[in-house]
Amino acid sequence: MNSRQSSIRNFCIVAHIDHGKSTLADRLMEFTEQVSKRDMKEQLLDSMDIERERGITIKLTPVRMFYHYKGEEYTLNLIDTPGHVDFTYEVSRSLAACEGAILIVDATQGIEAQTLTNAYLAIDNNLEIIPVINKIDLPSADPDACKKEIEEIIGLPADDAPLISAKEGINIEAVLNAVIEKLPAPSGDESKPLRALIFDSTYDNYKGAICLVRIVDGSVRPGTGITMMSTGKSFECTEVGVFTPEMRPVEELKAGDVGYIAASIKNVKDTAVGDTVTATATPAPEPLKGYKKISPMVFAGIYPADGSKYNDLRDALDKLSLNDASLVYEPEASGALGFGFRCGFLGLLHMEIIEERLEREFDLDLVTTAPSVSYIVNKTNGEKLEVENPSHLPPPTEIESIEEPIVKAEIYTPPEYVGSIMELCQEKRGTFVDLTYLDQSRVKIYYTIPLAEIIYDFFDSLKSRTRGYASLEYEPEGYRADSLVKLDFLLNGETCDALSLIVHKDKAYARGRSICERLKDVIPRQMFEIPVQAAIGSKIIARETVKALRKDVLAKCYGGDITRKKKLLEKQKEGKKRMRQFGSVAIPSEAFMSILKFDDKD
Amino acid sequence: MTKTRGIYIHIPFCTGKCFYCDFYSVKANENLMAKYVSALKCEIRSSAGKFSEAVADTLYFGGGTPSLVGAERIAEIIKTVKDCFPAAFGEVSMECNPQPDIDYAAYRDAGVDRLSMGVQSLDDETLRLSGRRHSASEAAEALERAGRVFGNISADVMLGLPAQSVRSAVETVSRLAERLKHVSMYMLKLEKGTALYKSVSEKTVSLPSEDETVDMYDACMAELHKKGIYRYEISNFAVKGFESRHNLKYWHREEYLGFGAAAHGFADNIRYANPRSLNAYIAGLNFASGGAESYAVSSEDAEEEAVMLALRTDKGLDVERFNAEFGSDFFSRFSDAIEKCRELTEFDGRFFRIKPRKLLFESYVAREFMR
Repeated sequence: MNSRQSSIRNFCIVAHIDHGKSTLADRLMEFTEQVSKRDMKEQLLDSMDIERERGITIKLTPVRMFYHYKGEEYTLNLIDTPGHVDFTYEVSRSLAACEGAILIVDATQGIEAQTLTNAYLAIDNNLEIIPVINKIDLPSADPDACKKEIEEIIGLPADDAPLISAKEGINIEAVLNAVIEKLPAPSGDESKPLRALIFDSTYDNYKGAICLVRIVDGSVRPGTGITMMSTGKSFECTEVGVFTPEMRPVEELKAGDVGYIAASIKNVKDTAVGDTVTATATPAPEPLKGYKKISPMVFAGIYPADGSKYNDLRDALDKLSLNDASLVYEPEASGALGFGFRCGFLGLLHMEIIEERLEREFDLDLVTTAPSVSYIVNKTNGEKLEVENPSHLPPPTEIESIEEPIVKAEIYTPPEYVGSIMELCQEKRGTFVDLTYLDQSRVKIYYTIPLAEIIYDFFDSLKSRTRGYASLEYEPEGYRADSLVKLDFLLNGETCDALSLIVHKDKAYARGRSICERLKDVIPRQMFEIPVQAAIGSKIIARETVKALRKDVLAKCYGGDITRKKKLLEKQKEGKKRMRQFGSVAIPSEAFMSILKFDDKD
Repeated sequence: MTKTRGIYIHIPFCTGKCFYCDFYSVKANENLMAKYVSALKCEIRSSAGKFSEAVADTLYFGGGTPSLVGAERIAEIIKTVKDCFPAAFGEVSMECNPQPDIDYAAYRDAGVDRLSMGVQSLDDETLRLSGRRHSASEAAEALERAGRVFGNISADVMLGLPAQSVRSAVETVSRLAERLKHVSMYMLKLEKGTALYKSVSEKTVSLPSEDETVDMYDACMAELHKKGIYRYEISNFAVKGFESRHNLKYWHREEYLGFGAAAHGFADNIRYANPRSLNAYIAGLNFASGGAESYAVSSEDAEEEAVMLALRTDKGLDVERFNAEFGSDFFSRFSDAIEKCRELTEFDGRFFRIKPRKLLFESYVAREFMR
């Protein structure tokens, strides 16, 4: 092994949410003086406001640090990992860019679901793991119990795990020392053809799409012709550099290095996470293992609340997708909502984040339809259709069968909730696969469940049935046919396409009834009576009535009321403009949204 | 023709707060009332020069419970008004509540000629749950005694109160109609921050539904019509000739001066309001014609106001007067709104109005006439 690589350590930090990952990263940077205290923002690596507020990481930011240990200077590359079940694949790719991982366990809470998932992911990627016990400054900290859990549940020796407080800056040095002593140095071959693993990408207005890479073999410098091995697309490298954490150009990146490659790439979709970058002139024979084309799992229609803002919404989605290769969208028209976009997301959190960013960063008011999944429809004429929007389902007579996406769901829970969790999984059409006692206080339950049930209200039900103790991880596991039907809703006799759902036949009646009831409650009474119906095909299965309005009046209007009353009328009129017209029925956007927010009652 | 104006005087004192009330009021207190009335007189005098070109032809004491300040002070205020403005009062109204100790003759002697009595209901359970501080029989007795002194008495009634039914509401107005010339009937609007709002949200008290309340309104109106008391505005009913002259000014968009804390006025095309705070008012801070707000009404707003207000009345908007006043043509100016509300409105050649059976959709119609 050459001495250049022997002074490099590439590592990441994995942890359950809130166990202190970002805080430790901040502390490491501070300790290696990568950033001065003056520049420290809370959780430096989480650069988006949403990330900082929610304490989650969406976009990765690697950082290069220098650390002197026993007379030698080491280069430490910390690669952040996203922290949510929607992003498991991204996590696995950033792990693959490292040789080792710091596993943080909260001394007050012990091992949690994500601790385990991430630890196993790290083990699967052959990473060396350094357990670190955090929050030892808290009175309820129990480091010994933590160590025992780490040894028993994960099977890692934890005797000399550093006991730290990232918040208080206690024992940070021990973590850095362990990184150098325990983690292996990279061992790529500089003389081999270039192979660089893309573990994330970002977009820069001047440089285009930028690949965040770990150089596994070979080297790359400005002028190198590069090729993406999954697509064969070629570009000319214009700049390479490292993260300090700001981007700083360097002359060359070599095997073992972590940094970025810019090559005037226009579309972030050409810099797919997990793809291998090689040199066009001397291509590597084999790409790095593990590349998967990721496809969206959750779909929803996003519409501007004010129809005239369609172009603004399109521009905003264009901008967001520059930086987010997993966001897909295409224009769609709804009879009820006008013009908008059908968007595909990695999961519900991803969807929420996009919605929130559209509203905050682009100041848009949105109407979003209920999230749905992508169905495969086998038609009687042998055709196969992919349907992401329930209202696009062909008529029942043309359908041979409908297949829906299934996920493998792993639920971690204290044993006392096993019964009610299994009950929930059965209700949600789950198929039991396995149940393992990890130790006395923790059980792993493994089910396959239709994704549609997961995104409907599974997570909330799980939390409420287990008082928040259970956690859920899931990943796609193919498609399965079931008796699925399209449930339509009619307002005043007209189908409201934006409300259509695909549901299991056995649940259609209950869902139809409960949504009709909710519609009745939120649709403001109008000058005429409005029947609200749920239908499967032409068969009405539930009906409610919004009675006609009987008064729309202010009882008092004397001298002191005139100014106020006129302003009120103007405001109400303005509000009416923002209403959605469903045929002859007007519904305020907010009311419409509240129909789409499902709850546990159904 | 001489220009005329109404005068409104606000007396924000009450003996307690009714559960449904969200108006600004202060617990009556002799010392505070004395200071308030002297500040009031001061404000009236200070605007004398400014507004003395018009004849004051109506005077209205609203509240609160204006009678709480006593007949002597009411007399002083009326005298101050007469000293400061050319006055030819066709109506001097005062609001009051059924109290056993009121000397009605003293108020008549002070110059009041019309009483507006807060009765609200003649059902004891409803009164109790609404936080009224009198019983049904006390209200009846107060009306009886006042009736011996005043020939023009109105009663306020509320619809949609706790424990109220269509039957009890009809019985209330039926008994009132036997001895009165005027009834104001208000459908309850549950306001946030009131005691009633709290008990309704805590479910300790339940209210009649909106539909029941409208049923009450329809039934009470029918009962009043039977007794010769006709609706002339959404919430106001009177024997012909006994309509409130002062209140009609509001709906005809005529001018009025407002004196007192939180009082509003409209004069020389300016709408203004005094600050709500009693202490600020007494201290003489920013009072007099628009301490809290004051704005000139644009000609477009003026037209919309005229329509919005006139549509509240059964008679409707005097289109000729509208066209003359604004130099525009009502039917072309509002052609879109008129078209949209065709089913709800009618025109008799002079007056444009909401159809009598559709008057409870007044806000719906008025909205169409707003920009």
